[in-house]
Amino acid sequence: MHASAAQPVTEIAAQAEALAAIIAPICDCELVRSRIKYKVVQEDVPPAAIGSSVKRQGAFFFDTSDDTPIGIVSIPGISNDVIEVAGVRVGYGIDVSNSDVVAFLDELIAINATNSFGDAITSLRDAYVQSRT
Amino acid sequence: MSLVNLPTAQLTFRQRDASGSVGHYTIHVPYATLAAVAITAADALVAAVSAITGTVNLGYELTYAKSQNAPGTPTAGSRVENKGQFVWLTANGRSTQFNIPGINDAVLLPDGRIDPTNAEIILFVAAVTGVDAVFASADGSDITALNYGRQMFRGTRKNQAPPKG
Repeated sequence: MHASAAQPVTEIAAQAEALAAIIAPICDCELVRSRIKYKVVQEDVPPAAIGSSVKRQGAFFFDTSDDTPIGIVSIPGISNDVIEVAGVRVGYGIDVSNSDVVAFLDELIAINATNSFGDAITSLRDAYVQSRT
Repeated sequence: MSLVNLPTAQLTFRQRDASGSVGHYTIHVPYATLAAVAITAADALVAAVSAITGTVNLGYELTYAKSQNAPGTPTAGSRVENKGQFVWLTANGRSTQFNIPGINDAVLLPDGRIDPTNAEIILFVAAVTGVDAVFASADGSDITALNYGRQMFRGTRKNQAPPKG
């Protein structure tokens, strides 16, 4: 079902759950899951950079507010411009002093990003290139 | 038995590379994050990520998921392929539809139409079309009335089929 994207998730969820209770008597199945999705589509998409590949990913490993879990974010098509060009990590390490990388990391923390358990991302532990098949 | 939310809402971004292949990355935010706040954050993240990747962003989805913590037992013999198809009229003069799996035989007429005089159906239609209802078509137009409803069968998928013997 669709609902206006202008509605807050709490309102949609409340009405969806009320509707689920009304549907229950006309349905022989049991409700097991519900999802509310807001979809955003870019109107004008420029061409991707020549040679870019989603298989070449930048894997960012984060410490979180919890002692044990970490958070992982894999960015497809990581740019060669942020890969280290000197030192022992040349060619695969992500340069965490690069200003664009720093801006990305700052933005992640600013938006209160978490791992899948809800533990807030607090700092970067490591970042390097991974290839997906 | 109740619907319980995951710890987080998920922002899943779609990126396209030079070959046309599409990849994804997912960012989690606390479940209590308002959708408007999460979307503003996502827009900021799209800009930040564009500087470190050669791919371009096609869009993203913000998902709030809940799961039943103790699902009840379905009615014996119920099948999700046995659907109630509901086709609705919308405020902009178009129509929209959705299907309810495992439609109960008690709300069907002998010819397979949904019985619009059934008390449960009347309640259901009122909930979907009510003045304060949030339900709409994919283009955002309000659902105003039930056009028709009928029983429809979908083909059984391999993983839905009963055991072979």
